[in-house]
Amino acid sequence: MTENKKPKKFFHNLKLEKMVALSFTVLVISSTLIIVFVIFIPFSDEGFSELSLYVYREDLDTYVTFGYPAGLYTDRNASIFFVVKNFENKVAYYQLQIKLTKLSQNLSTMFPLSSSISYQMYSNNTYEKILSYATKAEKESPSQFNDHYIWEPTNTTLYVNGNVLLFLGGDRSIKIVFELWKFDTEEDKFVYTGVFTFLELFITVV
Amino acid sequence: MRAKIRKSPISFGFFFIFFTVITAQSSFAQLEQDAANSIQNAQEKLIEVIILLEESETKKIEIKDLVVRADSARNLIKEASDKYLEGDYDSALQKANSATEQLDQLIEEITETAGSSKQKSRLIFSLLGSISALVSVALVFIFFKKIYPWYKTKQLEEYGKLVIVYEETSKAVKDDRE
Repeated sequence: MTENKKPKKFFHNLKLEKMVALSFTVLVISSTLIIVFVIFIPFSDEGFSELSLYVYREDLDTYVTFGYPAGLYTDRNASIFFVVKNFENKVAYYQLQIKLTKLSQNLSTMFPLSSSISYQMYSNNTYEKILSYATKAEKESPSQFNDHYIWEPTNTTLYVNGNVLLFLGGDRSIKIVFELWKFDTEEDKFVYTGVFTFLELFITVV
Repeated sequence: MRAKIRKSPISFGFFFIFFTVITAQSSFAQLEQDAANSIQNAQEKLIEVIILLEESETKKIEIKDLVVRADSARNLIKEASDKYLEGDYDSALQKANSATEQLDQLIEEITETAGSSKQKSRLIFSLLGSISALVSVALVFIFFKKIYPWYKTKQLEEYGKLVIVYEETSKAVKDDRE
C-alpha cells in the first residue's frame, strides 16, 4: 500500500489502457496549449525609436557625440545634427520638433512641452521622414549613420532672435529640446513618442 | 452723341481692364483652391500609403524601396505646401499632382505585391494542409495495421497474466452465512 504511493512505482502499477489514455491526454493538452499560445499570444518583440544628437568635426571628418555647443550668441548661430533610428518593427512616419524652454523646465516622457511653456523653433512639418524598420540582424549590429532604417545626420540651426528673448524674459539659461513624434494611423495625427533629448545652453546677448 | 461716341472706346477699355482683372482674380482664386485641394488629396494618399506599408510588415513584403519612394512623395508634398504658402499656386499644384501620381502608383504596387504574397501564403498553406492530411491518413493506416494489433496482443498478454485469487472471507461473515 505504501509502495504504491512512491513516485518511482507509479508507472509500473499502471495498466496498458491507463498508459495509452494518459499519453493521449498529455498529447491533447499539450497540442491545445501550443495552439492557444501560437494563435492568441503571438511572439511580439517590443520596438523602440532612437534619437541622438551629433556635432560634425571637420578635422575628423565625422560626427561625434562630444563638443556640443554650450552657449548661443545673438549674433551667430550654432549647428547640430540629429539622427533617428527605427527599431519599431514597422514602418514609421517620424516628425522631429525642436523647442526652446527655460532651464528650470521639467521634461517628461509622457507629455510633450506645450506651447505655453516653450518656443517652437521650427514649424512642425520642417523635419519629417518615413523610415522602414531594422531587421533582427540589423538590430543586433546597427549601422551608425547610413541605412534604410536611419534618418541620416540632419543639420539644424540653433538660433536666438528677438522672439526667443521675448519668450525668455530675463532668463538666459535655456534647454533646447528635441522631441520625436510619430504618425499614428489610428488617431490620424502625429503623437509624441516619449523619446526626447536636449541641450543645455546659456544665451549671450551681443 | 459725338461725346458719347468719343467716350465709348474709353469705356470699352475700362470695362475690358475691369473684366480682365476680375477674370484673372477669379482664375487665381480658382488656382489657389485647386492647389489647396490637390495638396489635401496628396496628403490623404500619403496616409493611405503609410497604412498599407504598416500592414505590409505582417505580410512580410520587401518594402525598403517602397518606403524610400513614399518618403520622396512626402517631400514633394512638403515642397508643394511651401510653394502654396509663398503664393506660387501653379508650382504647388504641379508638385502636389506629381506627388499624387507617385502615391497612386505606390498604392497599386503595394496592393499587387500584397496580393501575390497572399497568394503565395495560400499556396504554402494548401501544400502544408495536403501534406498534413496525407500524414494523418498514413498515421490512421499505421494505427489500424500496426499499433492496434500490437495493443490487442499486449492486452491479451496482460489478461493472460491475471490470476484468480480466492480470498478467505472473515470469520464474522462466515458465521453470518452459517
